[in-house]
Formats: sequence, C-alpha cells, structure tokens
Amino acid sequence: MSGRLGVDIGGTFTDVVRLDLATGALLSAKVATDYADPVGGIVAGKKQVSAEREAEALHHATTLATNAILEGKLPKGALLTTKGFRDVLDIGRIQRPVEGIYDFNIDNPEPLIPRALRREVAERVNARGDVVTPLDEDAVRAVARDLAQQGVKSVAICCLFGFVNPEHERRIAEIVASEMPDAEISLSSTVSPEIREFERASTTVIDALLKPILLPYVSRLEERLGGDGVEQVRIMLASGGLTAPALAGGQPAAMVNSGPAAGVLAAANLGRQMDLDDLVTIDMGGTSLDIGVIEGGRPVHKYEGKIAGYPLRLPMIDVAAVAAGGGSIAFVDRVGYIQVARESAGSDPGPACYGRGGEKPTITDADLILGRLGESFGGEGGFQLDRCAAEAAMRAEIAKPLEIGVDDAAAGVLDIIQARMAKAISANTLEKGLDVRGMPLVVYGGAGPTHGAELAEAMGMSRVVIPYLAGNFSAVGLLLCPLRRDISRMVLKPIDELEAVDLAFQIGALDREARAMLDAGGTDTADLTTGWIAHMRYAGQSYDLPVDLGEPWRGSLAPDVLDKLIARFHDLHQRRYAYRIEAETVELVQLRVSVVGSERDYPLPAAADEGDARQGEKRAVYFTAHGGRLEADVWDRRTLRDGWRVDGPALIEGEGSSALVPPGWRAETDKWRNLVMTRTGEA
Amino acid sequence: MAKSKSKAQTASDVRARVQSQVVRYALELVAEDMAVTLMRTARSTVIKEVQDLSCALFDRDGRVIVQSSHAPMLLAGSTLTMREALDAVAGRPLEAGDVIIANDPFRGGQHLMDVMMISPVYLQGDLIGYVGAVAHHSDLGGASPGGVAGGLRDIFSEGLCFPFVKLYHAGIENRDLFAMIENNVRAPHKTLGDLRAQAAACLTGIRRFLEVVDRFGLETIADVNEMLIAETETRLKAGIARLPDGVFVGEDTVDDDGVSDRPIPIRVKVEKQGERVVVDLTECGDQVEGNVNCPLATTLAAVQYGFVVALDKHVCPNHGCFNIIEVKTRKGSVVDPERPAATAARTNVSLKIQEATLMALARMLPGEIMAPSHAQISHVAFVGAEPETGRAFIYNDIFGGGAGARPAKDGRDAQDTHLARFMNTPTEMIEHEYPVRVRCYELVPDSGGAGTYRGALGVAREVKALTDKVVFSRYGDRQKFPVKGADGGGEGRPGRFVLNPDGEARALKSKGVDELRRGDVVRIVTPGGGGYGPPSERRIELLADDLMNEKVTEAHIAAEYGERMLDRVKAWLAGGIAAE
Repeated sequence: MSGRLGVDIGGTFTDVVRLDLATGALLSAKVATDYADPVGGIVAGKKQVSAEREAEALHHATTLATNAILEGKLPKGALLTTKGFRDVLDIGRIQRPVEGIYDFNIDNPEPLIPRALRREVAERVNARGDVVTPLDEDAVRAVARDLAQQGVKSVAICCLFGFVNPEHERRIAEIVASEMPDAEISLSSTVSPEIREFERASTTVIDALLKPILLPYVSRLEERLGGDGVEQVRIMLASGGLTAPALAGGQPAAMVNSGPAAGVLAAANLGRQMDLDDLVTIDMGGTSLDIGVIEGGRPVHKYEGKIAGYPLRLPMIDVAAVAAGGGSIAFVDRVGYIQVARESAGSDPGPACYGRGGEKPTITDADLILGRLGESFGGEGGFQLDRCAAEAAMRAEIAKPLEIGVDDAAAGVLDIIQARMAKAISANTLEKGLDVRGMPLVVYGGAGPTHGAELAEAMGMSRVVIPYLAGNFSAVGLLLCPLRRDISRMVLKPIDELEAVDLAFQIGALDREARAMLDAGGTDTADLTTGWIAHMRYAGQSYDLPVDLGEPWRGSLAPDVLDKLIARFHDLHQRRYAYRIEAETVELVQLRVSVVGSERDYPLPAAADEGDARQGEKRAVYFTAHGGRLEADVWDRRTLRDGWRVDGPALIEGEGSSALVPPGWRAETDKWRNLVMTRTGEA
Repeated sequence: MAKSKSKAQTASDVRARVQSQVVRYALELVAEDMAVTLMRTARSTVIKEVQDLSCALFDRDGRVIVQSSHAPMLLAGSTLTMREALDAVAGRPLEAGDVIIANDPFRGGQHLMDVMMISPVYLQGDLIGYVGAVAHHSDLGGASPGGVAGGLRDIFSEGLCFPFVKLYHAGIENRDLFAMIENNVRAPHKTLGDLRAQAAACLTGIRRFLEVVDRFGLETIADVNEMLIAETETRLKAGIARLPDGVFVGEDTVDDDGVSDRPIPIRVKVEKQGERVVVDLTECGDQVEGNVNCPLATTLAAVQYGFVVALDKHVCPNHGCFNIIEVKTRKGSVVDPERPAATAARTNVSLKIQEATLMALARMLPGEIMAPSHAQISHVAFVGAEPETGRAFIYNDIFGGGAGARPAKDGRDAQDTHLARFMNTPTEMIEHEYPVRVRCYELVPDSGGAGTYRGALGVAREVKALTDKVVFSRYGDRQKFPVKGADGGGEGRPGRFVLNPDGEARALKSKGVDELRRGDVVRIVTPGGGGYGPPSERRIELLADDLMNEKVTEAHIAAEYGERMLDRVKAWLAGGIAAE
C-alpha cells in the first residue's frame, strides 16, 4: 500500500488527511458532512488528497453513533432482564442532574427503551454466581415471540450478576436468536462485564440500539471504498485503537466519541516526539470544548462516561466535553449580567458573522469584532466573515441593553467564556489529582488557537503547542492509531486471597481471548503487545484506582507481583487522595487486558516552501489579559519555517485557524511545523 | 439598569460583574474539589454512593461565599452553623490546620448524623476565611445503629454529639478524640475512615482556596464576595416584587412522631407587604417526644429553598439567600426544638415545611409551581453480623418517592426532588457487601396522583434477610396522609412498609425497630407525587402511553378519569379513534 488515509466524520465537516507511506508527505482536505450519504463525503474528500486507484488503507472515525443517540434516531429495541428489575433503567441512580437542583423542570433523560418493551423473565444468580432461581426458558421464548411480532429490531440482555455467571444471559440470547433471527443482540456480560446493574444495562442498551445502524454502515463503507482503491478499512474506537469493521459493528457502543479520542492520541504521540510526557489537550470547535489529559506520554483512560445523559461504561480515552465553542451564544440575563449559553449556533445558521441569518452574537463574533480573527478566516480555502453582521448582533443583544460599547460587550463575552473553559479544564485535571501548572497545553480545533495562550495563562500554564494541521488534528491521529482490543474481568477479592499464579492464569486467559477476537476479525495479530492493569481499592471503598505496573504481559508474572501492585496502589492512593492506610485490606476489583498493535510515530511534515515568512497588514487586536487592544503583526502560518519566531502581540493565521500570541508570550515554529508558544514574562 | 448612570460607570460595572463571574468559577472549583476528595476517599455508602454531603467556602465573618452542588438541605443551613461555630470558638484562637467538628442540632446543626467540619484559612498569619464540609455519617453510636430508628425519645440515645471541638490540631489528629469515637461506634473502621476523608476535604479546600487568593488577590476576592451576595439579593428581591401582597398559607401533616400516633401539623404562613416577607412558622405543632423534630438550621434551609425555587432558580446560593426573608419560629415547636429533643428523622418534617412553603408560594404565583411531592425520606438500616466472619454489617439505604407533576409535564418517576439530592445503592453492590437478597426494585403503578399531568410514581424494593437476627430499623413518613394534588390534580398514594408480603403479611410502623429472622422479607414502598390540573383534561395519548407501559392500571383510569375515558383509551390503543 502506498498511502494511509485518516477520515474523521464530524457533525459539520468530514476531515480527510493522507500520509504518503513512502515520502511522509501529509495532505489534508475538508468537505461538508453529507448526512444522507456520509460515505459519499469520504469519497469526495479522498479525491482531493490521493490519486485515483491508489492502493490505500483507510482509518475511520465517525460521529454517526454519537449523533444517533443525541438525536434519538434509534431503532425499536427491547430489554430482557431479571424478574423484578425492569425499572432499573428508569430508576437509574435516582439523582437528578446538577442543572436541576433548583429547577424542577430539568430531568434525567427518559430511558431509551420504554417500560412496555422492558421484559422480565424468572431467573436469578447471586453475588457468587450461584443460580438461585433457574431460568424460565419457556417465558423467554414467549417474550421473544411477542417482541418479534412487535417489530423489535434489537434486544439488550442484562441479568443481575450476569458478569459473574453469564450462563443465563447466554441461554436467553440463544432462545432470542432462534425466535428472532433478524434481531441484533447485545449481552451485558460481553459489553460491560462489571458490577452495578444500571450502568451495565445502560451500556448494553446503547450497544444493542446502535447495532442496526452501524453494522450496515461499516459493511457499506468497506464495499464502496473497496471499489475505490481502499484495500483495508479500520474503524476507530473510543479506547484509542483501531479494529476491523465487522468487529466494530459488533460492538458499536465503543465507537461513541472515537474521533476526539484520536486527537488526544495524536497529541500524546507528538508529545513523545517532543519529549513532553505530561500534557493537557483542548479541542475547541463550533459547539464544544473537548478536554484530554496525557500522563507519562500516554492518554489517560477512563472506564465510564456519559452520552446525552446516559451512562456508557467502557474503556475510553478520557475526553471531557464542555458546551463551549466558537458558536456558543452570548446574552444578557435579567439582572444585567453577561452570560454565555450552553446552546451553540452550530454551523447553520452559525455565528452572525457567517452571514447565514444568525442574529445572536457568539464567541466567534466576539473574536472577529476584537480583531482576533481576520475577515478572510483560515486563509485560502477558508471563508469570508462579515464583521458588520457580528457587530450588529453584539450591539443589539449585549451592548445596547447594557448601555456599553460594542468592544466592551465583546470583551466581556470573551472573559466569561474563557473563565468557564478554564474552570472546566481545571475541574477535569483536579479530579485526576494533577497540577496543570507545569504542563504544556496542546491546542487544536478551529477555534482553539485563538484562545489557547490566554486559557493557559488563566490556569498558570506557560507553554502552548499548536500542531500543524490543527484544524484536522483528529484525522491526523487516525493515521497513527494502533490496532487494539480491550477485555476485562471482575475479581472482587481481597488481594491476600490471591496468588501470582491466579493472576497470571486470568491475564493469560484474557490475552488469548482478545487475540482470538482480533484474529476472527481478520486482522494481523503478529506484532501485538499485551498490557494489563489491576483496579484496586481499600476494602469497603466503592471507587477503585487503576494500577499499572507498566510491565507488558509476557506469559508469566514474577512471584512478587502482588506486593508490587499493593505498593503501587498505596502510592497512587496517597497521590490522588492525600492519605494511605498500610494496615487496611486491599482488594483487587478487576483485571483489564489490552492487546495493542504498533503505533506509527507522528510524521515530520515537509517544510514550508522557500521564501520569507509572509506578513499581512497590522491589526489592532484585543487581548483579555491586557484588557484592551494592541497593534499586532499578522503572519501567514503556511510560510513559516523551522526556527522562525515572533514575540507577542502577534497573530498567526492559516491552516484553518488563527493563533493569538499575547504580549508576554513568544511563538516559534519547530521541525514538526508546530507553533510552540512560551510565556516569557509579564505582559 | 439605572438610566441615570453615565456610560463610563456602566462599562466599569460590567467589567466588575464579568470579573465576579470569573472569580466565582474559580471559587466554586475549590468547593467541588473538596467534595470530590470527600466522596472518593470515604468508606461508607451514604457518602460514597448516596452523596449526602456538601462543601462550602466562607468569608472571615462566616458568610457563605460558594457551595458545592450536592444536597441543598445541607447547603442552606451552613450560615447558622457558622455563626454558632464562631461564637463557640470566640476567645479560643484557631490555628492553621485546625479542624473543628460539630453536629449539635441545638447549635446550628442539622441532626447528629450530619457532621460538620470547619477549618480556618490563614494567609500569612491573617484569618481570611473558612472552609467547611458536612457529610452524613452511617453510625455515631447511640441506642440504635445508624441513628436511623424511629421511636427514640431524646438526643442522648441518638449518638455522639460534638460541641465544636478540635478533631485536628494544627494538622495533627487529636488522638484522644479519635480513641473516644472509636470506642463508641459500631463500625469504627467506617466512621473513622469517613471522618478522615472529611478532614482531608477541608485540608484540600484550604490549599486550593489559598491558590485562588494568590491568583486574584485578597482584595478582589473580598470585592467579588460582596458583589455575589448583593447579586443574589438583588435577584431574589426582583422575584419578591412579583409576589402579591397579602397572607398566603400552605399546610401539610406529618404522620406521627413514632412514639404516639398523633399527627403533627405543619403550617407555613407567608405574609408579604411591599418589600417585606415574613414567613411565620409559629403555628406548627409542638416539639414531640419522637425523633422527627426539625432543628432550626434545617427549617431555615427548607424555607429558603422554596423561595429560591420560586423566585429565581439561577441565583448563586450564597449568604444573599439568608437576608431576603424573615422566618419566625416558636422555641419548643417541632420546627425549632429545644434540647434534649430527638432529631434523627427530621427530614420528614423539613420536607413538609418545604412543601408547605411551595404551596403558599403557588397561591402567590399561580401556574408556576409544581404539584406537591412525596416529601418524606425513608431511611432504612439492616444491621447484623455476617454469618461467616461474625463481623458487624450495616446496610443503609435511602428512598425517595414520586415527585409532583409539573405545570406542563408529568412528574419524572422515582427521581429525587427538592431538598433531597442523593443516589441510591445498586442492588449488586448491596448483595456483594451484605447478607441480604433484593427481590425487586421497581416502580409502583397507580401511585402517582391523577391529573392533566400525572404525579410521578413511587418505588418499591423488597429485601430478604439471609441470616438471623438482622435488625431492621427505619424512619419513613407519608404513610397515612397522601400527597395533595395541585389545581384540581389528584392525590398521590401513600407509602408503606410490609413484612413478608407473600406470606402472613404484616404492616410495619413507619418509624421503628424490628428484628428479622433468616428468610424474612421486608417490602419498602414509597409514596407517589401529586397530580397537576383536572384529570378530565389529560390528553388521551398520555393515558394510553401510561396504560401501555403499565404505569397505571385500567381500574385506576376508570376510578380517576372515568369509565368513559377508559373505553376511549382502550379504543385508542386498538387504533379505533383519533385524538380530539
């Protein structure tokens, strides 16, 4: 194969990046996402970056799964569960959302499957896995027949303690499959084999409901691109790795939020090349700010997230989404405070300055008014922004009601949104027990580079990296991603009841199982390595910490492995929670194994063409820390070569974004064509 | 905006307001970080899973600046607690790293189980504020495990009462006090672990508070604090201006105090004249022998919550909430009890105060306030010894019930409401840790009040003891007097506790202690919420949906909406008629 394509289908744009495997050349394209025919958009984007009939591998992430849930466009599904527990999905954890503390109209979302389609069957397994009530197979058969008649397309199966003993779930699946041959089925013991029935059921239901959408999608994708020279398709999962299309379609819940995961993985990879091991990443687009954390050169994983308010419990690169983007709308509340809404103007109508009929002022409008964005945004291939429209909206909605100038209004909007973003980023890193102040901030996404340095300053950070192709960065990440398969098993035992051989036996079994799955999916399993972590806690705690000894699995464990795990756990607990109890019993909650292929190193892009760095007209630019406008040089990013540098105030435009260099900051380009900004002193 | 102000002044006002938001975010982050620390390091379920906790920052005068977003019930009382704390430590200087522990219901506390910790924050030797963390503890000794039992008659039987003493001195554990506590509680590993987690939250709070001070400067923080308090006051006053003048009453009834069978009246009289609002609670019943007495801090929290919800749900819940209304109580009443009243089950009074407050406000703001909710908390504890190890176990659980219907939509089934904000315990966690089996956890059909919009359904959970001598202690309420509806809506169905529902079923008292034998089953049923608007105006598709989903039965539709409606709903479901 001569090239590798990274394709990230987002809500607004489909980003395509091509890496020439022989020369290392990187090309990128952006086309509008076609909801009716998303694969058509891929074909169109591919034409722009690769020659016809070129043999390619294509790595793909899509927001299709995420959007289907957010928009509620899901097929008719049913849940089969233990008698007495069909309302687990409705009752959930009882707690109303934090936005609803004083607002009684705000609720958790209704269950994805209505009560009438949540069916109970007599069966019961206890916490040890013993069968307390045998499965009523006739009842299962009757329910399945009824569901088939009602046109149910997919069935989630979640029995109490199914993760300890999955026999009943498996038997239910067999009966359902024989009675409903066309229905898709997901088992909680396969999708999320962990304790806590609501989170497990929620994840299983999401998986089941996505199957009828994503299984046909991935097979269509392979078929159509196969005719277009693509020899191998790989699908991105939120865990940070690729898998074969059939495997991905068979576990679609793992595809939710996989695009943002690719961006964080790319940042980690770039960081390792630059010898930066601990990083915070932000991806700011039109509607959201996605926050990631990299520790020791690797993205931080989490094991439970939420999508549209529904718990999704799977291993995933930890990306926290906050409702703050270029399209976020500003308004004045009823007591005269400037606020920024969670709603975004999106791409249609978009910010007022897009000239598509938007009349509400947004963050992008504020940036344009204050000279932080140029009117010809993004340079070549970008588009024209309408400054008059931005000012009109800001005047009507903010400046006039408050009787202040348009500039003051726009400045207030920026201060508010930046404070909110800084809070979100800090909250996210604090939870992990991290102090961001020594860490560099990697900034990408269309709106990110405009705010990166100022956000860094607000959080006490002093280094910002804006990568090459910052506007297509997740697609770049897809080029680098390794194959990956995650698998886990609950242990739930005091660690003194275990021996190293028990652990080795279990890890070995999980390793074989994961490899067998990849093998069955038709992927090459030659150069895979196996990592493993143990989730541990003090007896009686219900949260656990993932303990990673950093030693790949090589078929056996040293006899002192348990002692090492315990010691590492005490250290981690101390670091995260400021105390340790050496005398307390330590429990091993869960083992996780990840089988991972090799990750490609972040590529060295071709240098900019010969010639001087090009400069545009000087502009009066507003800087939040300065609280006013300063005359700033404006540079064309495409013309900047390795070693070029400038002191703020300055603006660097191009490649789909506008990077702001505040006073007291210096920007320079490096051999990866990154813009690296460092704080040099007080403004 | 005052029109007389010059534009220049206004622009700087706007800048100051913007800055106040920026600083507020930073301070809120400190409180959230404290809560995260506490939740993740605690040992007992009620803190870890149920999240019955709250953290706050105070200025040097003890006024609340910001609070973490957990239990509103714990939030609003903290100002009173701080005032008592400052009195208690006056003349007894606090050092950096001191952690004060307190839970005295008669000196600003909630009930004994809600333990407050307070730590001073010093900047270069000057006191600049305090951090505080309140958390519900699962056991503090006393006559009944977990402090949960109904029927106890004085504070002395409920557990240890801490009178603002130092649990930590200059960052070092007070070992005598820890030893004293250890010797007086049933599961010391949990109680001491939780206390340490709470202290860790305070120490985290101090560190992060000082970082924020370092970033913005002390003066800015002080200015912002004044602004935030003033903002909250301004917003709530604007809300008060919308209320009509006059006297408006809301009433509710507590089943009993667990000792006698006498109902306890709760009567909230809101007197509004111009800018002045007086909330008169003096007609509430007398202090009772049983443990439902509601300490003043909780009473104030309940009233304030009702006003915030009705007047402006977007305010920053700080000290500004405490100045806008006057609350009158009568010493020795159930809403302002005197020592040695027992108070463990006070939520069953405080939630009624909050409902009665909202009922009065609903009369002032027609069409804006939701129908009454279940207004009780069923707190149960199963206590015994693990059959294999003999080690003591305490399985605590909390149940809400059905919320009231909203003016334009049904109540959301089985979710927490109003003052109570918590999480349940997953069935799998219960069975993994304790020798019990949960037989079902489900919605209770027909329990929500009928109406144009239906009250939310209550929940039921059945717990079977798998070993002998399991003590089932509990307090619940709303088992005699149903939740009222609003604007013509129907009543929600009361809750009940039943022993062995499948065998020789026996009703258990809402507040009490019983011993279970191996194999005994307890069914816990919580009440449904009130309906909103006349049932005759409920849309047929909503009724059809309820029937199809078995949230209501045919008999319920016939009784509450009429036989004719039932026929129409059935026809609708059969595809026979279209909506009108």
